[in-house]
Amino acid sequence: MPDLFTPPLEPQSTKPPIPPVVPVPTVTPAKEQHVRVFSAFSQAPANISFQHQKDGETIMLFLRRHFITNTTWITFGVFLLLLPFLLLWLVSAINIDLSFLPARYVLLLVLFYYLIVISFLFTNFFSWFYNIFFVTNIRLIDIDYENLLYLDVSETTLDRVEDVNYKQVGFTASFFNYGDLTVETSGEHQFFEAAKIPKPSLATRIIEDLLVKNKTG
Amino acid sequence: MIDSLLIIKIVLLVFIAMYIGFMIVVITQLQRLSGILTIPFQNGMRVFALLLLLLGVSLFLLSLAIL
Repeated sequence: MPDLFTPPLEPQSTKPPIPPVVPVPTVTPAKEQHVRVFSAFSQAPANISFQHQKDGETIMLFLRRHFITNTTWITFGVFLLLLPFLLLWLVSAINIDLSFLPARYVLLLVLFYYLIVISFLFTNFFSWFYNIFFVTNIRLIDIDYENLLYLDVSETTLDRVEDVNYKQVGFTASFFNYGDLTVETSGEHQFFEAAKIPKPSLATRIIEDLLVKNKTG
Repeated sequence: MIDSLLIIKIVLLVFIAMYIGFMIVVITQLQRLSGILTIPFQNGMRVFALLLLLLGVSLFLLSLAIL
């Protein structure tokens, strides 16, 4: 049967369809942790601060090299600590005559040697201790301290970050779960790298999570 | 024989003086870094560096006195 009356069509909505909400993988907010002397990974650390920290700016992630990466210089340091005993044994075994050297000279040489070795250990620890990468809710700060004459402090805001990725290469990196985290930015300093940090996948997820929160406001 | 001891003494004194200079640079860097950020054990590091510097100075004076 034909329709005698058809109601006018309602004007269609010009609004674009709302895309389905895609769940964003988020990292559960961590309890505040305290950075300790040997800490290499700390989420939301409560006991650190930095120069020019803004009001409301909180540190979300604190990273250093994994402590296991210090094995080389620690082993070498222990070897240097034991070296005089080895030399003493060698001198007595080969019968080298050191009688021309007075005892006070030997004492001062040994004291100075141990002072040098302790300073070697200290400066290596020092360069590990101050090689820090941290992420706040506003920016990334990378402190590179290679040696006594090289200090590089660089920072960028989170809205400049374009990509975050990490890589784990080698047996020890896989076994001890450390790797290199790289952050690409659009600024002048294009790459921020946190080398050999523990739990690189978790650190990447935390930074990605912060980026999402930063973009969505 | 006396000459070789004199050479050892001079070399030792020069090296200890270099060491003292090195430790002064380390302490300066520590001061700069503690201005940039505040982290635990920072004061411990400074105290340890100062201790090493004092040991270096003591060793220098001791070498001057007894060699």
